[in-house]
Parts: sequence; C-alpha cells; structure tokens
Amino acid sequence: MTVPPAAKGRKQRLVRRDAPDDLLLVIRATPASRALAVEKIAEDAELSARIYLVELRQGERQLLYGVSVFAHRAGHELTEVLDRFPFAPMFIEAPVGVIRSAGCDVIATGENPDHFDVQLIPGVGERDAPPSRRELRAAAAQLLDAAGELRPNPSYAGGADDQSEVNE
Amino acid sequence: MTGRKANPWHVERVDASIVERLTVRHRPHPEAATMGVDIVGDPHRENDEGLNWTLLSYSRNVADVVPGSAVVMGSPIGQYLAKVVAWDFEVSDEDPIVVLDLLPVTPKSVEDALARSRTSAA
Repeated sequence: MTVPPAAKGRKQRLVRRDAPDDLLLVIRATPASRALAVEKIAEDAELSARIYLVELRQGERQLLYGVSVFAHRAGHELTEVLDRFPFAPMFIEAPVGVIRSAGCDVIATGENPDHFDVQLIPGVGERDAPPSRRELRAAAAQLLDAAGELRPNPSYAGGADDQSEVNE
Repeated sequence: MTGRKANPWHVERVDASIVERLTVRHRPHPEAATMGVDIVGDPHRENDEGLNWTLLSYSRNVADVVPGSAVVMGSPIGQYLAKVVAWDFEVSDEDPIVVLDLLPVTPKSVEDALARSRTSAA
C-alpha cells in the first residue's frame, strides 16, 4: 500500500525547538492488544504523511509519518496526560532518547508546548517512494519494543463499551 | 481559526452546495458504520492549534459532520464527543480535513444530563 499524493500539496507543520533526549513522552494510550496498537500507529503515521510535511532545515522537506505524543514532565502526575484517554486500558511511555535509538525522530510540533510528533520513518521526501504499510508496522513495532511493556493506564475508567463509570 | 479562540461558538461554515457535492460521492466509512459513530479518528491527534482532526472520508454521513455539528467520534480507545469546528480544504477539495474540538465530557454523562432535564420538565 502506498500513500496517495496529496491533491493540492501538503500542509507544513509548525516546528518548535528541538526535543531534549531526557524528556519523557507518553507515546500512546492503547487498547489492551499490542498488535492492535502497532496497527493503529502505522495507520495514523500513514494518514499523517498524506496531510503533513516538516521542514527541519531550510529547504529540506520530509513527509511527516508522525504520531502525536505528549510530554510527561518532571514533577507532574501521569494522569495529567492520561486523563484525556479514560477508555484506554493501557499506555506506553519512553524518553526521547530511547525513541530516537529505535530509529525514529522526535519533533516538537504545534503550538501546544507539550505536543510532539514521533516521526516513524524520517527522511522521506515528497518525490521519494513512500514506505509500505508493512514497513510502517515494522517501525511501529520497533518503537514499542524500545519503549518496553504496555502499562496499565492509571486514568482508565472502564471499557470502551461501558463508558458509564466515568464522571459518576 | 483564530476567531474560535476568542469565541468558542465560532465555526467556519461551509457552503451548502459544497456539502451537497461531497455527499453525492461519499460512502459511509465501514468502521464508522460498525462502531455506530459519526466519524472515526484518533484522540491523540493535534493540529498546530491544538485541535483534533480526521478526514471527511472517515465519516458515516457527510451532513452529520458539517462545521457546527456535535458529533460522536469513534476510536479503538473509546468514543468522544466533539464539536466540528471547520473543514480544511488546503490539502484536498474532495476529502477535506475535519477539524474537531474534543469535549472533555463523556457521551454517557451528556446522555444522563439530558435525561435528567427531560424528567424535570415533565
């Protein structure tokens, strides 16, 4: 499967300053299944690349095979990040340096100072052959392997099919 | 979308003829239909302004997700209430980006509140 070219050109993502290696990031709030988490990361990265590109250095534009992640800053409770995902039973987090060691890049994107994109496959230009879904899955699996085990979400408030426990 | 920050009621309306054109070619997204939601998306996603986004092709019915609509967004990690803030045609005229403001309340809590209001009005 390939990424269809954007009909009118992609949007350029706002890039802030660099992300430090020791910054801890909540990579995903996830379903219980690691395989499903890998599939959704690959799917989200592929969709992101249909829409966005980033220019990290002047004139060097690359497609953004990105997934949105959030900073878990020192001195702040994990639930400050995970409260927005009350129906995800699990989550996974890792420092920026560990994510980079898995072959991904971490880019500070958007106006929210706690928002970052994990660039699953760095360096793909607009004229390059896009990675296949299989390659994206492999990169997503490598990311999760580097980050470690899925952990129980402390903000979990019940299954997706039974959302009645929240706010009660 | 700077107007939204000053006034959260502000939405960028889309011409009815555009909605009609996109409705004709639209097919309900299978996951949206299976989940019984208005649109499918990833609650992690944030655009540069901190708003969530997905594509119109991930919706069940085009007319249900026009700017200004309250919608239920489905994902593998639960359902979210959202307000459709805008359609963004910068990348595609045929499959615009649907910009969503995820609401920090659950569908169930809103259902309960509405049920209470109906009871007290009776």
